[in-house]
Amino acid sequence: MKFAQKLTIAILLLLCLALSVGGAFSIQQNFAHALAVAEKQDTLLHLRECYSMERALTKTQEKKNTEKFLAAQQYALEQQAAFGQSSPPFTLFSATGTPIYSNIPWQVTYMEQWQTAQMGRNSGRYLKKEDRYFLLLGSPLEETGENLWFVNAFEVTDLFSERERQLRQYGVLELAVLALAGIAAALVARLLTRPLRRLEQASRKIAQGTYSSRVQISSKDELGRLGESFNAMAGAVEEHMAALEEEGQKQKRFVAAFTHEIKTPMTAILGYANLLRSAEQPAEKRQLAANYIYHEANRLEHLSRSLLALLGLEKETVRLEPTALSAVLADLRRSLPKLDIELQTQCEGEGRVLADRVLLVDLLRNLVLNAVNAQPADGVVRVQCKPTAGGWLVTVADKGRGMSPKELEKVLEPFYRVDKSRARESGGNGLGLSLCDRIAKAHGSALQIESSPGKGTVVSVLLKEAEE
Amino acid sequence: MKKSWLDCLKNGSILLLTLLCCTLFLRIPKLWGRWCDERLLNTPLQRPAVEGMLSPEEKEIPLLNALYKKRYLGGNSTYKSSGEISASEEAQLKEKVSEMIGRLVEAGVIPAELAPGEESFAGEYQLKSDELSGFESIHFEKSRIVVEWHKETGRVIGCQVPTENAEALKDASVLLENYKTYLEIENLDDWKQSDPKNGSVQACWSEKGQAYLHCSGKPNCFEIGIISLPPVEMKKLDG
Repeated sequence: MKFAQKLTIAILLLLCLALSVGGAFSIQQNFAHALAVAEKQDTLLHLRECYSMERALTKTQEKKNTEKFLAAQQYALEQQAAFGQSSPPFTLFSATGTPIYSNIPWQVTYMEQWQTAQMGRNSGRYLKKEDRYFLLLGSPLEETGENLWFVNAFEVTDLFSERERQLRQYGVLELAVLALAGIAAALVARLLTRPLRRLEQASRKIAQGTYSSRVQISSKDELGRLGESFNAMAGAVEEHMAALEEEGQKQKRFVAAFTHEIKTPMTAILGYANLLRSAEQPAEKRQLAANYIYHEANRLEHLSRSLLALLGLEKETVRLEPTALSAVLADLRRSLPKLDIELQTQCEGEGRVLADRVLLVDLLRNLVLNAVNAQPADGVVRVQCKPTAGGWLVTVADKGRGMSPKELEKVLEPFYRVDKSRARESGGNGLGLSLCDRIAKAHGSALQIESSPGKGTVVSVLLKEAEE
Repeated sequence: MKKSWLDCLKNGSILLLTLLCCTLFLRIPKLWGRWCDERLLNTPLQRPAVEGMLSPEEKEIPLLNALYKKRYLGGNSTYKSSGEISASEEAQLKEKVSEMIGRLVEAGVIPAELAPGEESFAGEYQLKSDELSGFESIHFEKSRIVVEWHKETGRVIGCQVPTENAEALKDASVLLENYKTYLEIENLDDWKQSDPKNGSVQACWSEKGQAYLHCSGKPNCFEIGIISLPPVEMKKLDG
């Protein structure tokens, strides 16, 4: 069952209960008040009747019940003549409970009347006879010389009928109100739950893969905030899914490139090894084959080392410590092989940065070797360390071949090489800049590469200054 | 398909239950009424207290009892004018009225100088008689004398006598004291007096007896009388 329907049913049930209880209480209170007013009026009237009957019986003291009967009858006739139907019927009892005169309706038995009289002048009772209701009040008569009892029966059926009429009327009114309220509640519930339906539709679309699905809820209440949170969540999911997809694509490309990088040297190794085992070869051919096998095996070993380093950087957290840039530059010089170009290093001041010294040296070494491979026109590769507002900027600059913007987009991807043939000749596997980028990220920075074809390349990395 | 069938069954059950609950709730007013009626019909009623009941001690005084009951028993009067009763009855009536006024004068209730002569009872009159309450009154048109009395005790409860003598009211408090004695209600111990400086009406009242005695000299008319007042009206007089 839909939430809007549940809401409608709940509202209807509560309204029905409230109206019924409220109506019952209100009608009963009105009825009780009407009864109280009638009791007060009838009590006064009964008192008057008692006094009147006492006067009427004054001359019948010590006389037989017959005389009393006639006096009572005469009184009843006079009352009937004076007040018509509104004169209350009565019964006159002797001391022993014998009814002397009565004009109370036969439905009210003498026993019930006598019992009412015996209850005393401070009590009374209600009786229901078929569809009629009576209020019985009884009192002893004074000043008659005997213990006579006087009972009035006041008919109060009208009050009960009026209450029944009010109940019927209220019932009809309540049904009408419930019908209207039900329609209104259904409409309002549907209106209020519209944002929830929108949320449900958007959730369903996202589950089906439409991550760009969003919900439009403009209200300022909890539902509006829920909508905003949902949109924020959907945005995060979309970004995460896009990142996962891109990561997946990267991994695919990595695996493809890695497979290719493995396959090429392995093919060469297997080929030349097969050649050697297939038949006796001349010494020159054997030497050539052995050279190729050695060279390709070396490339494989270098590749595996680079991969291991890359994987190690992804898995482990690098511990950064205060490191003197001058020491890093010195380590750099010692790590480099003999180069055909001039390496210029410059550091403006005694710079100390937060770094992993070994990794930083590796980074600079790779950048320098790349710069050398770019064949700088002026035969110089410059390494500079300059203080800036954000830390120390370390740059490696050359005036070599440079790269186009298209090549710049992919240059940090694993196994990407600008000039594949030349890189392979020099033993490059395309992982160098990827490693440098990972090292830079491990230092809380990133490689910034500026390059123009024919003009050279500047690679920068910003390192945090170590506090004294 | 099985799931949608179960959902239909579940929804139907909920609707049916809702309908049953609403039907039950709609019956609440009637059921409540029936329950209240059961209690009403099976429980003795505590009669509401009637204010202004005369105490049993004061009921022993016939005049006070009659005045008290007169508050409840009014409205059954019969009227007779002169000529509607026989001459002998008329003579007896006038003699009776004359005697009653004579007793009032003797008792010091009506100043002697205001006592009407026999000629005051001549001419047209109207007799009002209330058998139920036990009081009668007579109004003489020519002399404008009005006398009301309690038949059983013969005591005058109201008397108006025309006068031009404003001096008659100087001793109104004495007249009231004499009136109490005449009515035999002087033994009530809670009589309160009105301030003699307040207007032309002198009065005294007793809450126990619910009796209010008044004496006044309206222009050209001396009046003295007693009425029964309920306690709530009595309390206003103290204010």
